[in-house]
Amino acid sequence: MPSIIGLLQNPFILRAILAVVLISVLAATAGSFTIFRGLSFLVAGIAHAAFAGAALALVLYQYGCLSGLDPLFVALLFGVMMAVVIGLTERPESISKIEVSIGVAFAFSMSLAILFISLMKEYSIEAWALILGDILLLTINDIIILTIITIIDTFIFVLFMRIFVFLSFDPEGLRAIGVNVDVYHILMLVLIASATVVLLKGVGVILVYAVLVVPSAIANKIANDVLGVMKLSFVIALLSGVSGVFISTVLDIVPSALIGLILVFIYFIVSALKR
Amino acid sequence: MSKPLLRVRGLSAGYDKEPVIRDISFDVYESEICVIMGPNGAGKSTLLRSIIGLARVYSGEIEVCGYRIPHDIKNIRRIIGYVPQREYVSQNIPVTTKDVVLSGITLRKGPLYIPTRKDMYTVRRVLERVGIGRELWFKKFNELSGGQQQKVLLARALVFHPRILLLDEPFSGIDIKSLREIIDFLVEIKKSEKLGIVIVLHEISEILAHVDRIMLLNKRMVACGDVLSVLTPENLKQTYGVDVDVIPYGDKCLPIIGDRHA
Repeated sequence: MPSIIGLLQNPFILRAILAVVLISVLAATAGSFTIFRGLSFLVAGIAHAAFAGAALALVLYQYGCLSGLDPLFVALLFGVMMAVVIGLTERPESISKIEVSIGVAFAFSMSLAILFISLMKEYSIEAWALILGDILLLTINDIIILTIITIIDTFIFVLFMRIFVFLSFDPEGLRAIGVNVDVYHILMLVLIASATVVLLKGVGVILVYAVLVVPSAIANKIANDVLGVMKLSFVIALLSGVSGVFISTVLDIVPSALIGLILVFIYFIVSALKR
Repeated sequence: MSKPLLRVRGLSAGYDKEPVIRDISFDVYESEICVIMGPNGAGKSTLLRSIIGLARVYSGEIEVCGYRIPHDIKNIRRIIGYVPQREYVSQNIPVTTKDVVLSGITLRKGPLYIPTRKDMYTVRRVLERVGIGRELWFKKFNELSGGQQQKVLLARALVFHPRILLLDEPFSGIDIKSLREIIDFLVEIKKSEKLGIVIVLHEISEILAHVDRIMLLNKRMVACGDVLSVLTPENLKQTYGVDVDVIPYGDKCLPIIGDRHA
């Protein structure tokens, strides 16, 4: 069995651990506010829209277009566009209506994704890599993009923290004192969307929900205030991520699946204890 | 009589497509409780929302302490405390009682404002006044009872010393003890703070003895004035579309079996 020091000398594992730290910061910020707003389905919807964007980029590569451009940028564009469209379609007060529009956008983007995959001749392996994700295969470029988005997202979440908290608590009350709720609502959706998209290469379309949202869902059952939920989300995401990376390396299994299983296991334990 | 705190004349207001309410005129003076009643979809909340600039005014005038909508909306929002329906407040987010009330000050001062000791003192004082004890100050809002939540929302609306208080269905889903405590508190502050209080309600028997003015509304204003002249079987039938029993009690109270819903 390899030692921990030995594992840390492996650049793939080092990059994975760095990614886990950054992902944990996004789980604490974007993940927590997804739970506070009651919009956890948004993460799944955005992930699929982003996947459609990446699939489009891969189809265009076939025809010699966009060559050299990381498909993640097109994914980011699709994810952010979906967030803006959802933000413009329904009022921030109508969470149930927003969930329906996420569902419609989900169906639309998944239809597009399947259409694009069917047009692929050479790049379907890259598409599958995005669906499954692998945190051990992240490149320096991936880490740089993840770092930039994490810094930007965290800065904006901290700057407008108070407004985002009360936008989640009572948008009507916030509107009544003259805050432009519609703008902050769309800004929050875009921040959550960008956090979701940059996680895709590491954890995949399917498991991004588990990694981004489940730590905050667990923390929200335990912590006593907003900051407590955010701190605890970070710790839960970090511990499950680091242990998932190490165990998966030793057992030679996919880390994202293991991280997802660890998180869901913790969620059920906490739910059972809190009942 | 002094100038009214709130003066509404010929108001038609609504949202994007067309007015929801038409031709509404009424006044609210200081130290006065005005109740607005009507069936679901009558436009009661739209009327409240138009007073704080959240609904579109198609025609007519709204004047609050001499300020007019829409031009003086910033000044108007500084003197109106608004308590939205409690069912619209999220139970997903673990905000503490103290932070909810403090937000009534901090959100008005911009995202980077750091609360002062004086702000904290004001928050503690207003929480004590509405009857929320120290043991609840650091408790999560979503763990409070319906009555306690309503008192906290009331404290948030009062923390910056408004001249007018607008309450949208403040008594729905709360127990009779909390309801009486809130009514007693509203009666006390309308006198001590010289507040004008506008309350949207479905059923008014508990507060009836303290109401100075009442409006029946169903898209249009059916009647507005003192309780005895407004709450007649004819007006109630015109408002609700069904016969409503009116039982005289003394010379002021008229407990009615009105429109009830959850």
